[in-house]
Amino acid sequence: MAEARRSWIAEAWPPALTLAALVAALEAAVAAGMTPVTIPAPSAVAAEFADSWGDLLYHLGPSVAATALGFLISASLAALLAGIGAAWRKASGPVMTFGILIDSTPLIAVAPILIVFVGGGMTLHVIVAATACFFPLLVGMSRGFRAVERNADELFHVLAASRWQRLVKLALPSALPYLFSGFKIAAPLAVLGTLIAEWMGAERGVGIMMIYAMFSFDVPQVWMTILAVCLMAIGGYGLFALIERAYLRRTGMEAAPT
Amino acid sequence: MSRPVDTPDWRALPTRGQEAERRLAATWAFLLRVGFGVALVVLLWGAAIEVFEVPPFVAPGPLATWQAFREHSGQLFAALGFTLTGVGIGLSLAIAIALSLGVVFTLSAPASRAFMPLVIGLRTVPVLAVAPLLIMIFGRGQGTTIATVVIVGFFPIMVNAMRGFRSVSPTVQELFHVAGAQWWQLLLKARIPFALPFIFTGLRVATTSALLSAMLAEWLSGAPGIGRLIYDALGYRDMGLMFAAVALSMGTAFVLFGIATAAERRLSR
Repeated sequence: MAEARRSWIAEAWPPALTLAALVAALEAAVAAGMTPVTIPAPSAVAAEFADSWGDLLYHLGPSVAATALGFLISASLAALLAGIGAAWRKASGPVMTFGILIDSTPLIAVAPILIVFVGGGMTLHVIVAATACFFPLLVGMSRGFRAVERNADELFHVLAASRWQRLVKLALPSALPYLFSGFKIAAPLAVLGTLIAEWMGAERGVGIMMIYAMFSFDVPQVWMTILAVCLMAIGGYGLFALIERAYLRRTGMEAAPT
Repeated sequence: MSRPVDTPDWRALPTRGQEAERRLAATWAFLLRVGFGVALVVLLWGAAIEVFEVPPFVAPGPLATWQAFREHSGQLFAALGFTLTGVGIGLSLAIAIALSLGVVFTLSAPASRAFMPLVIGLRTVPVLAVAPLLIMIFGRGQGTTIATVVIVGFFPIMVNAMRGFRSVSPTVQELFHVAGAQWWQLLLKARIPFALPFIFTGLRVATTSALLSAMLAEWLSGAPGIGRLIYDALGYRDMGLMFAAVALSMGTAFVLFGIATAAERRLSR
């Protein structure tokens, strides 16, 4: 255990040091007046965080809600389609084609049509977030549902397992590693989808805060909102990574290849 | 005693002509499927407009869109050309930067240890979020589009190229070492050829997101590309023009995706 921790520290200090050096260099460059006005000192961004913490939280709330809701809807739809594809072999090709179609459609082109029909509110944010994260979820689930090992499947057959036992004790555990890797890729994409939708218009949301800051040329605030969005995305990724780690450690399984 | 070698019967192998014919047939089948899909979508769209009696100022039918397309085709293609120029320049820059940094990181272990975790970490971040910042830095023209495409395309190309540079097997590296090869010989004759399929995978990922990011950048910055055109048309409630622009940009996206996928498949065989 101590060994593992030491190697983790050995892995982590070079990038941490690089990051600290970059931040320090930026700070020094700004202090020396070498940067354009669009690049603020890191300390100014940190001060902005402290100053408008309340505003940021006020705008983050709906963004997080739209992201989570969109992710949930997308995951349910992906599970349904992947389930159909897994149960009925003939459907798996069209299901994948549909996923690729959704994935290669430029969101920005479809959004105006959505605006015409559902308006520019929360509904739009949720739909765009769901669309943005759909494909990795579909791929993860399709691969997961097919991950049952042949030998294990036959063993369950020989032992006369019921359908329910098969699902809970065989299909679900062998699918979970793939589901986790899909979730990890999809979570930041859902954040991006919400952000893009909020750029098009919102009453509250970190995207609209970013646009207002941009139009009023409040440079530290633009940087702060960008950092906040990045932290949101990393948070989503980290959440699933932590759940995955805990689950894999408990069951002693390997992570799925990505 | 020599082991029998299992060679395939050459007479059973397909000739070049047969192979070409097979490929042609597959291409036709693919085009037919695409045509069928498009026809289905257009039919559903027209039917929905008719059945729900959607007025033309909300959403035009396929016929009205086609008319608008022909009426404004000059404007549409000028905007598309502007966007695609930005995408092309941006992707070329992204490839150049990603490959040179990839080579540096492959050759220098300390640089790789110091920067690679940051690069990997940045990959989980939605880089498109920096678009407003790029607008403030690069202004309201083509520059912002190019910068956005570079930033979005850079990461997939670089990460895949690194994976490719590292995919050279130890046996090959030892052979090069024994033969007294210099580091640049190893790079040119082993690392880069081995990395090509990986680079094309990265390029495919980058290409599909490049059009989206370019359109987004234009829409935020106001540069006269197809992304801006869509939103101007929405603003003027010129729904025929908007639907025509949306259809054109979607078609372009699918064509780009198809070309990138075909290139990847063909070159990584």
